[in-house]
Amino acid sequence: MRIAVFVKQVVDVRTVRIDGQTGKPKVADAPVMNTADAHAVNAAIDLKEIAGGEITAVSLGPKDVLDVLVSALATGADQALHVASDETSTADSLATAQALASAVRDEGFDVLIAGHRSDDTETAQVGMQIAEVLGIPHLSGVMTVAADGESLQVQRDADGFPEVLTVQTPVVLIIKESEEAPKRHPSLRGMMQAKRKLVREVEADVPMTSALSWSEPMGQRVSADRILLEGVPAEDAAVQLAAWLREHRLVG
Amino acid sequence: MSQISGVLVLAECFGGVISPHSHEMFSAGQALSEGLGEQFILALLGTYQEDALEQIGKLDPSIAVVSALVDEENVTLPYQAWEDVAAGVVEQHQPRVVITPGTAFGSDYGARLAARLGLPMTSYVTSVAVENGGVIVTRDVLGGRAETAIRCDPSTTLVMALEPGMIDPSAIGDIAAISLQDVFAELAPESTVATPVSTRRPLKGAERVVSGGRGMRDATGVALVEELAEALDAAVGASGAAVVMGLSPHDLQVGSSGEVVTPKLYLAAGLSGTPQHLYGMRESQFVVAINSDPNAPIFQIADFGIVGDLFEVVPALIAALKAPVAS
Repeated sequence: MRIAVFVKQVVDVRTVRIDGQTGKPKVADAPVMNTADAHAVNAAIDLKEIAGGEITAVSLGPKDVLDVLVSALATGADQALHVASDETSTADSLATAQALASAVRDEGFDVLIAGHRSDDTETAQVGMQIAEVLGIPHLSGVMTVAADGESLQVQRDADGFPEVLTVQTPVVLIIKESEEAPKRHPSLRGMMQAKRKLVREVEADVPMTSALSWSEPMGQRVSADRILLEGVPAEDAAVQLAAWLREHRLVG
Repeated sequence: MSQISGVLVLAECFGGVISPHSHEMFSAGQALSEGLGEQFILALLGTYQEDALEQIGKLDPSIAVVSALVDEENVTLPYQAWEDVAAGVVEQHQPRVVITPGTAFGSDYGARLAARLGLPMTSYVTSVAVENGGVIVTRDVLGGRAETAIRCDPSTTLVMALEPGMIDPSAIGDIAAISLQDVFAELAPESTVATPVSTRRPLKGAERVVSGGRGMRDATGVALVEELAEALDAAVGASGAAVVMGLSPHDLQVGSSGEVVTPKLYLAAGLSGTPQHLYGMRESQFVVAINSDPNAPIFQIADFGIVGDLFEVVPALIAALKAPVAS
């Protein structure tokens, strides 16, 4: 079985801090593999273990995304496909999906696996749109997959209810979001082996554009010197607040 | 696409029942249609629409209603039938905005529909507005830590899905909206009195605003909040929950479906700070919050927060404000 898994490099959203003065989010300069995609890589390895075959990790972006491709290889993917573009910041989900779909169209993949959504832009659209552009079905909320020849038995979360469906390949599987840590991680041994694995590069062949324009993200405003009184008797708290209001000339 | 115009809502009608999320879509669609001054097209996709139409009864005659049967029998996966039908409706009406369902089920076809038609899409929309004649929507990014505002090229149809639970639902004809806020309202005491309009300072342009939320509980709480506003020479505002509970009249509502205020001081009492509410006041210069729940989101943006019962803190604050200042 030929398996593709899409991985995205994102900022580490756990490091987001909102600047108290400007309201702008600041993140650590250490990008990571998107959380949901780490689960997708695991699902791809699960499927390979029962159905055999080969896993190709696919990522769109500048040279930097080689890091997440290597991470996927070190976790257990067999080869990587880098869809190169330096302009992904101007792409919307459709341009992204078109570029990825175009890169995998002639690769003969039976199953294409994607995470539910990215940590940074959170659209949850790209997996489905890849399926649409390729003209094949997708299943969302996928929990487990069993294989039987050309068909797959997929257990999925259908709006809160589990259901089991049998689908023919090729198909896009979108893995259900999970709070749990993925069971497999890049290992040191895996990192060393990854150096021997094949990484191919193709140019993204669609323009990285959008009819949408989006503003710079703004965090919820957090005051640099905010005061929070907890467990303070009401009278004391009220006196402190009244003083603070006067100090800031906020009393009518 | 040639001339595009109108706002198309692709409401869900399952076996003659309009889905709760469709009321949120309807509300957003109506707001955009009014803001743009363009036709509102309500499409009922699904089955047994005649039953739903009977329940809807009379609808604003300016709204165009379309029914489109979704036959799931001949497809492998149900969303494929929805996508096919939705594509037909969009192509027929050439709208400026399409609102697809943001539910787990609806999400399965919304993004595909946009890709099929080659249209831009934005999902998990938390607020909609019209600014300078164009549609502007907001959504969360970076793990919910920040927000971005999105605009669409005016010559292109924008497909959007709403984050469920973020936009106040509205009634569709005679079918009342069901929301969490309604559930809260049922728990609220009945004999509550709204403030007479004449005594209030206008919210718009106020330098100081004191707003109360669900924590006011009853007329006593409302009176306390008003007394505090009086002491601070502030206008009175309210959260959506307070309005739905009948504690405050609608014209006091601050938020994405009410007034957007930018005072020097915004004091929120007994108000948790839903994203809709924060949208209406987060540009305030100073924010003060009084709430008994230490995890209330309002504390995230408060310059001065007191975790405590407003029935204790507010009277004490009024007393402290009236006390002579030692100089």
